[in-house]
Amino acid sequence: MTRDFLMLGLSGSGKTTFLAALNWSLQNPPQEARLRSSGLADGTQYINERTKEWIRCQVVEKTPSGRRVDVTLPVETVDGDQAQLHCPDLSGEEFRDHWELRQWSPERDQEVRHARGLILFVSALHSYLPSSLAQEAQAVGGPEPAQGTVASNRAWTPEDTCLQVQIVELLQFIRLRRRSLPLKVAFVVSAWDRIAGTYNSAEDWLQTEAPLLHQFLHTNSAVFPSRAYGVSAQGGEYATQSVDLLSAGPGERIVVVHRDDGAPAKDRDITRPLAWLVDSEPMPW
Amino acid sequence: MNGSQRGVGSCSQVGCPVAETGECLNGLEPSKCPNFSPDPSEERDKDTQATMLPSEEQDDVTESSTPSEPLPVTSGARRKGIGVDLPSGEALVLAEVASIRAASLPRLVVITGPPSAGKTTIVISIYEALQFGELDEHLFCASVTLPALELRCFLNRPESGLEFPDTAHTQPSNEPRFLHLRTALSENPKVHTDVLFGDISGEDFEDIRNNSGVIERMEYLGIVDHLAVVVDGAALCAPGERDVAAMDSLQLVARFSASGHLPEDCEFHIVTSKMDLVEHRGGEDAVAFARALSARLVAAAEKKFARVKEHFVAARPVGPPPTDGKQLHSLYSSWVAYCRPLPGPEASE
Repeated sequence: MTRDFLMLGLSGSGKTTFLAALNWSLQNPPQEARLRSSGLADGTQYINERTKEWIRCQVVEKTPSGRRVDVTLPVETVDGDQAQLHCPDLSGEEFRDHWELRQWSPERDQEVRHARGLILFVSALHSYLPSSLAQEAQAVGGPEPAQGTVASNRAWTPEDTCLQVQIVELLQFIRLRRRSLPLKVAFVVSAWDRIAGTYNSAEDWLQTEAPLLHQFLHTNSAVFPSRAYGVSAQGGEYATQSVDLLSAGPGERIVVVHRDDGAPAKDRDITRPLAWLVDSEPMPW
Repeated sequence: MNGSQRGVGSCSQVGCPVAETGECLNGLEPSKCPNFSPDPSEERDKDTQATMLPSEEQDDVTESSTPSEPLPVTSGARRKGIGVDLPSGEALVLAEVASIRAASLPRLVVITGPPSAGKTTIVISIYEALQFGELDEHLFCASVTLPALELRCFLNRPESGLEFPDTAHTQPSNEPRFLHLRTALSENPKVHTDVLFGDISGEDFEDIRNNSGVIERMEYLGIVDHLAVVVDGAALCAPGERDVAAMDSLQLVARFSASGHLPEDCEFHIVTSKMDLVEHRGGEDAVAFARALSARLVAAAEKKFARVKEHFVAARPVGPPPTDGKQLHSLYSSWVAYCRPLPGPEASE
């Protein structure tokens, strides 16, 4: 049985690296793994190439602009139930179409309508808050602005909008286009190694770094039940730590911070976000 | 739910003929009406039907609206292409406000006052406070006008090239526009409230102050839940200007009080803006003047309106915050808390 999941995120938000690490983990599951591979799918060249890059601590080639890559992963749960997970890996450039063009492709529309769950990638390295001149002025304590003496030299364009607003709009559109709700959303905060120690959990990160999005998820939890995962698929920076990372081995690089059992916890099971989405299913398989 | 023919759709409003004639009871394009559902046979395949929720799981509530009702589609120009069109997110027109009012009990707020008094700044500062999680107990739920709000925030962004924050001047217009926020209280995050803000230019309200009969031509003023008169705090800092500002605002309140068009059970707000400037630039003298003027305006409004409130706000304080803080949250709280009662059966007949 095929289950479709949608993976969305900006360019550079870690989608392809996550998929590469997931592909490896499914075939080399740690003891605590929620999901494991149940065989090999056809058409695996793309994902296998990315996985090899990841194993070698090379920067994983991102999905080319405007291209969608269909990745199918045969999995089984700890109970032995089997399924094919279909995760189209969309280029990050497509991510902003809904906000900037106010439209999306018919293929995206069908995926949105039929997805059984959504994995939304946000990067700990990106800023999701707006910049505010008023806050800056308040922080420095003056001087008072000379009202009306300087005019802006450019007009607003959609790309001037901070990322948390764009993501909220994306979820509003998904709600509008779907006829079946709720839709579970797993947030993956990538590059977690870069902020480890600053936040106890990915949800804490969302509350601080993307408060509008956090409020939206909290007040719309009946429509979008969500969980947030802090994930480091690389385990560190290749530029400075590749020797250590290579010697540690692929599985030891992965870090997943989660609250699947209530309290903040950390392990190496990168299948957790997908396993949580799958777990919501009526499980006819 | 009215029945539907394949390819038309159906409506949850009793008496709506859209399924038979394609015409919406609210006079909207069917796809823009929040009560309309496209033809289920086209929209919902067997897979999605199989995962429809049992009703007890759809427990978030927009007051008086269907629990998981999607937000209405807004109008406006869209880029032509082969893709699926998505809502434009532009400020709403009156027909769209009517469709939201038909589906829920939104708070319709109209903020009046002279040009540059800070009317739009108050609205976008509330939105920005939500963006930073700083509107106390209020939580963001949704907005159908995010791009319109962002556009109005632009002059508070470094990307604008400005050194100090500003707000774009709202242009006079024959057709009023409205901004939308849906929020919830943190103690009850599943009960959602829609708030619609009239985005009306200061010039339009100058017209009200100077000419009788103008209020009656502004259709939307007859259905407001909240009417706010903003006194420009910056004008209160200079001895000459403060008396001019007082005269203007007293005349505006007098016009509203004399008009029979405004609902008497709307909540009337006297809002003194830019209190940071009043305190830091104007000093004790200006603060005393601001409070005395506010009291006079409240007294004048109370002759007509039963519910009158006064507020002193600093939407974008510069330097140390004023004595009472920004006060935006208490202003917004009062807007969320009150909605005019629906007319009873006798009134509607």
